[in-house]
Amino acid sequence: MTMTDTSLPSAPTALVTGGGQGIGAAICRQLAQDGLHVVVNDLDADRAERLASALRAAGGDASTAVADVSDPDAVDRMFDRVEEQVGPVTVLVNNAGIGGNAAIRDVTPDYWRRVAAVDVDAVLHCTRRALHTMRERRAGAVVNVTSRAWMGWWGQAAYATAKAGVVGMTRALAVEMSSRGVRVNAVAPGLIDTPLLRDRSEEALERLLRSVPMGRLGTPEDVAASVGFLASDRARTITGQVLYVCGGKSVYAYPDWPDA
Amino acid sequence: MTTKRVLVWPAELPPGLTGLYEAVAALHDAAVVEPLHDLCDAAARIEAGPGDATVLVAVPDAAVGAHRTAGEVGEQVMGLGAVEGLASVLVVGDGWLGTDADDLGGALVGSAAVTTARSIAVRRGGTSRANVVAVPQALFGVATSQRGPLRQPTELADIANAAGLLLSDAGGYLSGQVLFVDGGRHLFSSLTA
Repeated sequence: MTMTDTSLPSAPTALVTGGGQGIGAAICRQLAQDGLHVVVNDLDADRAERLASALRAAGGDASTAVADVSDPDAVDRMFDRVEEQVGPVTVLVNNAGIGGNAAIRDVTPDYWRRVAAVDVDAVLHCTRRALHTMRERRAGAVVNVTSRAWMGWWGQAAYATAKAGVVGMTRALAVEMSSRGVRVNAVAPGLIDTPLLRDRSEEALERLLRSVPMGRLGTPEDVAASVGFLASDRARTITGQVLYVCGGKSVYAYPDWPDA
Repeated sequence: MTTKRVLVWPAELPPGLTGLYEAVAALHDAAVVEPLHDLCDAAARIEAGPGDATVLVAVPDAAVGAHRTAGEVGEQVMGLGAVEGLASVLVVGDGWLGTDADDLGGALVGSAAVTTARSIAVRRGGTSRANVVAVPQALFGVATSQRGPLRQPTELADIANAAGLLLSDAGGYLSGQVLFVDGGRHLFSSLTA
């Protein structure tokens, strides 16, 4: 190992996958506000650039990295480019995901693989590449975005399986990386007010809300605040935590039993 | 401008946690740390004013042994469920995970605190939030290792930071949760999965 370059980058760098919209965009805004250089990853270059511009206009430091995170080669190229142009990634937020509601009869092998590719395979590809640098530097934090749904809910067989995989990966890597001083944590959002949820009918939404003890939806900013905390030195003795941002739904969700 | 108060219980903390209340209050922009004689006084003291007392920090393990049995402390903690309109954080040791069989009192109180926080989260979700910060039992003076896989020992500031998140608006959608400030010790217990 060479010790020629001990200079630190001007700001630690965070890479947020699927950062262009929804919860991911709120996470980008939070981390930029916390003083990190934020690399907005998204499939859509325009969407990523629009957010990065907005972050810069608000006084933050941001750039973009367009890549399909379910493709391991694309992930490697993205990290190579970011490390060369910005610096080592010190915070990785695995946020990219696809949701969806599918009763088990509609969970075809194709659907299953599509969900797994983004919701759990991509977490592996990005984390594996990021840890390569973090373990050498003996510093870094990974925050995964899983979901309360991993505990089980109607129409979530594929999604819950993938998100349970993320919980397992979070805990296993927290243990494995601990001697290197690298922390791995997760947030598990409950019902969050995003366009995806607003697409549902008023009646369906109201039914869903009855399952939340706090009786309201969370906001993307609620999730982002917990991600920002876990990513920061304020959480330097916290690893392997799965923090549910769910208004109490993970404690007990009053279900409104639908017909199977 | 109203005075911001942080209600705390018990007044006396073990050496490993001395200064915790002041550290949390500082993060919460609170001017006054107000010790409660009994946890069941919380409702009356909020009403009594002056100012704004909407958060409470309790460290139930710390009260065991001093003047009270685990049963008495557990009863007080459970009484917290009757208080409306409060964001509370209960700081407990991690004995209830099974880390230390010799301190059953602390472990029992930890269980009571977790159950209480979860119960408040569900039964009083419309008005109150309650969460737990779990720390290595060693901070309560129990002769046991406080090592977690992360090597980094848990310090007062780490506990205050976690409590700060849970009590602040940033933690406004967090309720009934257990945040382990423990270097990852909890990962080896099935109670946390």
